[in-house]
Parts: sequence; C-alpha cells; structure tokens
Amino acid sequence: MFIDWTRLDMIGAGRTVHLAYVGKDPMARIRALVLVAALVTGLAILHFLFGAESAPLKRLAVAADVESVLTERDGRPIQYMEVRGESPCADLAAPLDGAVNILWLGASQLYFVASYSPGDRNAVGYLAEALEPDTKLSALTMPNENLKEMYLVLRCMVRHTRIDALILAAVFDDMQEAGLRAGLEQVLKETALPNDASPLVRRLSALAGRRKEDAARAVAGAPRGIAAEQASVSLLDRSESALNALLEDNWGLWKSRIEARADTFMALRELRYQLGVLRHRLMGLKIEGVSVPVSESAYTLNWEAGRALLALARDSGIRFLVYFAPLPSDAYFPYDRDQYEKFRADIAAATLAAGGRFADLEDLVGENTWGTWPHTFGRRKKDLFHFNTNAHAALAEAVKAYLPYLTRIAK
Amino acid sequence: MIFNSVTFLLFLAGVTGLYWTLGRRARLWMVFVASLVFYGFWRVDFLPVMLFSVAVNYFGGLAIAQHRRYARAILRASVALSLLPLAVFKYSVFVAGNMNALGHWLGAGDFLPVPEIILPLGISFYTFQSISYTVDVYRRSIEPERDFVLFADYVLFFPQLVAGPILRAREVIWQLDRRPAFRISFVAEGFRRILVGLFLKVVLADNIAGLVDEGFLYETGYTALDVWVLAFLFGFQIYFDFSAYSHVAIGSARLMGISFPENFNFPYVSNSPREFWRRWHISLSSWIRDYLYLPLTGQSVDDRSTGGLAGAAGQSKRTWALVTTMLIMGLWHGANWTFVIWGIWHAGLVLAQRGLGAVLKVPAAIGWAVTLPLVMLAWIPFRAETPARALAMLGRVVTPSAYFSSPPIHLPKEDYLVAALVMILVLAAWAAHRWVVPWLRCHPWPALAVEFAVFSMVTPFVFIFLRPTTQFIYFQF
Repeated sequence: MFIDWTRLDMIGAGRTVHLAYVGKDPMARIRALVLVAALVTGLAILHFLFGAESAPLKRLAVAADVESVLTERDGRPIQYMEVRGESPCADLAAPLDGAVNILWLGASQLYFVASYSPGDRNAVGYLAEALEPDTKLSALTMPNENLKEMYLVLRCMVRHTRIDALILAAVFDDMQEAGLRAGLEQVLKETALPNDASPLVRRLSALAGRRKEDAARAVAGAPRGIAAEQASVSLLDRSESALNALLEDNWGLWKSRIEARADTFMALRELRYQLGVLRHRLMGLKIEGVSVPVSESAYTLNWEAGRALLALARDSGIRFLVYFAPLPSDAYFPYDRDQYEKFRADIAAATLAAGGRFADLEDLVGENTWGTWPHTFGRRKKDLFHFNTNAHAALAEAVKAYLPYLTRIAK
Repeated sequence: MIFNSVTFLLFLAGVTGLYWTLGRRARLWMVFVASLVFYGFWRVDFLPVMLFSVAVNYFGGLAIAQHRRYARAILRASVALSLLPLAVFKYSVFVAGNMNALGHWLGAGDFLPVPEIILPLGISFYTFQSISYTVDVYRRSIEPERDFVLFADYVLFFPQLVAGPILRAREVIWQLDRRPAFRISFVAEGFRRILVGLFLKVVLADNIAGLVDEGFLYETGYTALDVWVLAFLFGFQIYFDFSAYSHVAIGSARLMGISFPENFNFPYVSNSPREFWRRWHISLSSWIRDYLYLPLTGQSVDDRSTGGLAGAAGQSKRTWALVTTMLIMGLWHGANWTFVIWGIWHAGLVLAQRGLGAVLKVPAAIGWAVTLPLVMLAWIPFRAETPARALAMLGRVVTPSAYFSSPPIHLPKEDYLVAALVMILVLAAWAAHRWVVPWLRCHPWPALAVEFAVFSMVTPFVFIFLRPTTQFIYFQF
C-alpha cells in the first residue's frame, strides 16, 4: 500500500498528526522511468522542431525576401535597431557630433529592405549620403517602435547631446503596441529620475518595471520605477545572464527557445485566423477582410506619449518633421477605417500645432516595391510595411525636401 | 533566487545532492547556509532582519518553556519583537502616508516624513511562521527546539522561505531532523511537482500577466464586461502564479524526502465563500484561524496547517472576530487600502453566507455560480493600484448602462477568449481530479500512459518559456 504524507496529515486525528510513509509504491521505479522517458521525449520533440536548423526570427514578422540593413557612416554605426548596454542614450548620441545633428526615429520599415541584393541601402543610408559633412544623423529604428518608446528615447537623448532636428515616422500599426521592450529599462533609468514629477513617465515606468518590480514590490509605497531599479541589480540577474550566455553558446536547442516561444504564439494566432474572428497583431499576418480596432488602452497611452514627444521637441528647440509612413495602396486595408483616419488627422494637427512640419507619405511607394509573405496554406501575400531599395531612395528623397527647414536654425 | 530561473534549478540540484550525502550535522548546516544563499541572491543586506526573527523566536520559545510563570509576558514580548520588522518595513510608509493625508485634510501639512524603505522579500511569511512556533510552545502544543540550526532550518528552509506554505513546527522540524532512507520516488514526485509548478507559472501565469497588465493600464472607459473579464483574468493569473509557487516549493522539499502540506485545492470550484477559504492559500487561512480567529472567539485551537475557518462561538463575537481577522488578512497582503477593501469584501461574503445560510438552503451549483463571480470581482481591489481606481472599476459593474455601451467591449477580444478558455481548463482539471484520477489510481498502466503523455507535452513548454522575467506575485507580501 502506498500512502503519501499529505494525505495522512489531513486525516490525522485530533491533535496527533501522523506524517509518515506507510509501505512503498510498487510502481515507483517504473513511474520514475516513465517521467524520464517523458522528459526525453519532450526535448526530442523540441529538437525535431527547432534543433536542426535555426530559422531566422525575422521570418515571423516580415516577408521572406527582406533583409535587415543598418547604416554606417565613415565606418561608424549611425543606425540602431535596439537599445542596450549600460548607457544606450550615449551610444545613440555618439554619432551626433556635427554642426547640425539630426535624429531619426522610426520602425523596422527603415532597416528592412525587400528583394535585397548586396549593396542595397535603406532610407537612412540614402539620406546620410545626401547630408553635408558637418551635418550628422543618428537613427533608432526598432521593430514596432512605438510613440512611448520614442518619447522616452528623445527625453533621454536631449540630456546627452544637442539635437537640432527630429524626423519621426508615424505608424498607425504601432499604436497597438501596449508595452515597452525590455531594453528600454535602462533608458527609463536615465530618464525617470526619482523626483520626476511627470505622471506619464511614472506610468511608463510602471509599464516597464512591472515585471521586475513585482519581484519584491520592493519599495513599500514608493514609485514602481524605483522598485524596479532596486530589484534589477540582484545576484540572480547576473547569474541568469551568465548561465543563459553559457547555455546559448553550447546548446543549440537552448538558443532556439526564443524562436520556439514566438512560433508557439504564431501557431495560436494562426489558429485564431482560421477561426477568422479575432484581432491580429503582427503585420505579416493580417487577415484579409478583417479589420478590428486597435486596443483603446494601448492607443490612448501611445497617443499621450506622442503628444508629449512633440511638446518636448518644441520645448527643446528641435525642428521636427513627422511623416505618415508609406502603405501599399493595392492591398487590402487591415485597420479600422475610422480609427485610422482619426489618427491621421490627430497626428497632423498635433504636429502643426506644435510648430513642426507634417508630410503625408502614405502613397509614396509604388505597387511593385513591397516584399511578399508566405501565407497560410502556401499562398503568398504582400508585406504591408517593408519595401525595396528603390522605395527607400524615394522615402529619403521625400525627407530630403524638408532638410532646408530642419537644418535652418543651426545653420 | 526565484524558482523560474536556471540558477535555481542548478542550485536545487546541488543542494539535493548534498542533502542525501551529508551526515546529520553537516546536512543541517548545509540547509541553513543554502537557505541564506537562496535569499542572498535577492539581497544580502536583509539577511540580518531574517536572522533577527529566527533568534527572537528561538530564544523566546526556550524562555517560555523554562519560565512558565512568565510565559505570557515572554510570549507578548517575543511576538512584539517579531512584528517589529514587519511594522517598520511594511507598514511605516503606509502609516506615515495616511497620517500626512490626514494632516493635509486638517490643513496642518505633513505630520511625518515618509521613509523610502525596501520591503524584504517574504517578511510576512517567515514572521508568521516563526510566531506560530512560539505560540505553539506557549500553548504546550510542542516542545521548544533546542538546536538553533535545526530551528533556523525550519524557519528559513528555502523552498518555502519567500512565499510559503506557512508551516507549523510540528510538521516540519522532525522531518528536517530525521532524514528518511533515499527513495527514487522522492525525486520523481518532487520533479513532477516542480514541472507542474513551472508550467503553471511560466506558461500560464506569465502569459496571462501581459493581458492583465495591459488591461489595468486603461485609465477610463471600461465597459462592465471589461471589468468582469479583467477580474477573471487576474483571478486566474494569481491562482496559477501562487499555486505554481506552492507546487515548486512542495516539489523541492519532496526531492529531499520532506513533505509539505498542500496550499491550494481547486479554490475556484468552491460552492461558498467559506469553502473558498478552505481551498485558497490554506496555510495562511488556517494560520489566521488558529492564531487570530479562534483566540478572538475564545475557542480551542487546532494547530495544523490544513483546514479552514470554522467555529461555534457567540454570534456577535464571531462576527467581530471575522471582520478583524479578514482586515488583518487584507493588510497582511500589503500596506494599502486596496487590500483592506479586499479583506472587508471577503468578510462581507462570509457574513452574508452565515446570514443567508441560516434561512436558505442553496444547491451546490447555484452556490458555485454565485460564489465564483463574487470572489473574482474581489480581485479588482487586490490588483488595482489605488482604492479610487478599484472603486471606479467596481462602479462599472453595478452601472446598468455600462453593460450596454457601444462598443460593448474595449479590451481586446483575445482577453475574453483567454478568460473563457482558462475557465474551461480550470473546470476540466477539477473534473479530471475528481473523476479520472481516482480511476487511474486503480489502473496503474493507463495511469503511466497518461503521465507520459502529460509530461512529454509539459516539458517542451516549460523548456521554452522558462525565464525569470516575472517574479511570483506573492513575493511582494
């Protein structure tokens, strides 16, 4: 007979608690073997799915024929697709040592080049070539970069360097981004000083710090951002990062975990699309014929950050250009039309009210310049966001038209 | 250190190996040091606070046993000293903030400076656990433990140190003292529980957390349905999160042949609020029962960490005791009025049950259909950052027009879908536990097949989602 301790505890009579093993589980060894077999089988399944060849993560969100291209100038990087390190804002500010300094904030559209051939450049590269030697450019183009993140980055950057001009890509799709990516925590630390009275920054701190702060809700009654900072310097953080690096270097399957996570969600999303009723998030997987509003909570917070960003630029004496990012005109329209039009009107009005320039570049890019996406059941469809190098050149040309305005004061 | 980390898994493997190889004395010291290391991975500078609590109750227990004449005074001093760090670290900011709010309301300005204090992880858990020991010695339920290291192991034993279960001395000390002969089943059982716990945490709780966090960012404009779905989502998140911790704690101890009591028993199938408290965070509710509620009602005490709130004292005494204990239960979770609202809410539910139960016999299904939404709705103040926010959200639920707004929902549809699917999952798990598991116990070979299928599916998910991105919610208490 096999009786476990807990059971005995629960049936313990009165004040006498019996905690003891009675007899043995005759199946114990077999059950242990079955458990080991299950663990091995589970890992074997993973190895079968992900271990053989590491699929590029980008295929999850962009068309198959695009490549990421980051721009360098004089051998130095001037375009970044992530923020990381101890002082990310200082890194971003490093290229900005000219008589005129321009910061370009956008999303993956600015670094993905469709139908890529070696030597192809992106819009940032084309614009950098057109600048005079004493005009410097730095671009932060993170995938799905949203207005909250742009706002924090600009707040942080103006503390590190003089920025004369700002180019900002307004992308409706990224208004649905509810969170802040992990790398932004360091930017927040540089931005959100403990005595910072900005309610928006405090709310954004809560957003970024939520995960680690829940570690301890470490400061009783204090702003969450401080708690996050306190929790982030633990021995555990250091040991986890060292162990993960070690495992990633020596075990391919461990390295594939990120893709496996993404694929899991993709599979769930694919299931939803087949059901045909639910909201989509990734650009490449919009469902034709389905348009659903962006979550209002995400939209509202992004819009609030967008207005704060424009006000910050204005108050910092930065000349700015906001442009509506290109969209293909011949593809199905994936957004809620009313919400989309409202966003267009609001962003244009807010830009002009803040003293900047607004450019509607939505129809700038031609039909045959977009990437293509391998869709469900072998079909292909158009990547709604990423285009080829010719389109990048056209985008750079369009932006170039505003350079006289953007560089006027500093000149 | 947190359970959903590679660091912990390596640490646990090392400690388990040492546990089964060292002699008694070395083993006790090893558990003591390992527990300090476990805690020190968060912050080393709070180790003295924890050791202070251990020392106070160790010497308090000895003193009570040696000086029975002064036992009550010693007990009071010991409990007061044990509660001192809790008062300073957990409640001083709350008290100062409220005093200052009162000062502003009276037009007198700030009364007290608001300190910036970091709350030591798990302080509420180890404080309650060590107090229960001293009280048990005072009540002569147990003999005082004379071996300091063994006593410290009981309080600090790393699997339960930060978030319970809150253990009673009589359940654990003898297990730490006398290691059983090694059996492969210890390791297999422990590993199974750890896998289940990690699955609940890293696959379910952490992914629901994203939806909840996003939902609670919404400032205004919730529809009534949105509030309901957020309540359910957070209810599921906190259940998976906390029960996951308990699973891993129980499994980690099991690896070393040590048995912990269960802390959860399908709370969301409860047919009444009282039943909910017999199924939810059992070790805390039974602690509250034995060391607060029953003494307040003047009833005898059952000092086991399983069970629930029960009693048969006078009506007014019981009501007063219930409200007091639920208030304390709320404040135990956090120094915020939101937790007070949560505590009062639950006190109200139990009182309502007592009142209605006397005149109305409710079928189980109806009891469940009423209890579940009310328990879930109580998570809104628990999760909201301010009482005003909580009340505003709850206000939507009782506003008829909020059910007919256009559009009827503002949260993403996926939130609704996830809430519905998880509800089905929870009920299915309970149904399997109730009807399938007993059958499998009598049919070992099908049971092995099921076990193989379940764990070969659980393993890949745990493997790919395992990362310490989020802490366990109950760490903050």
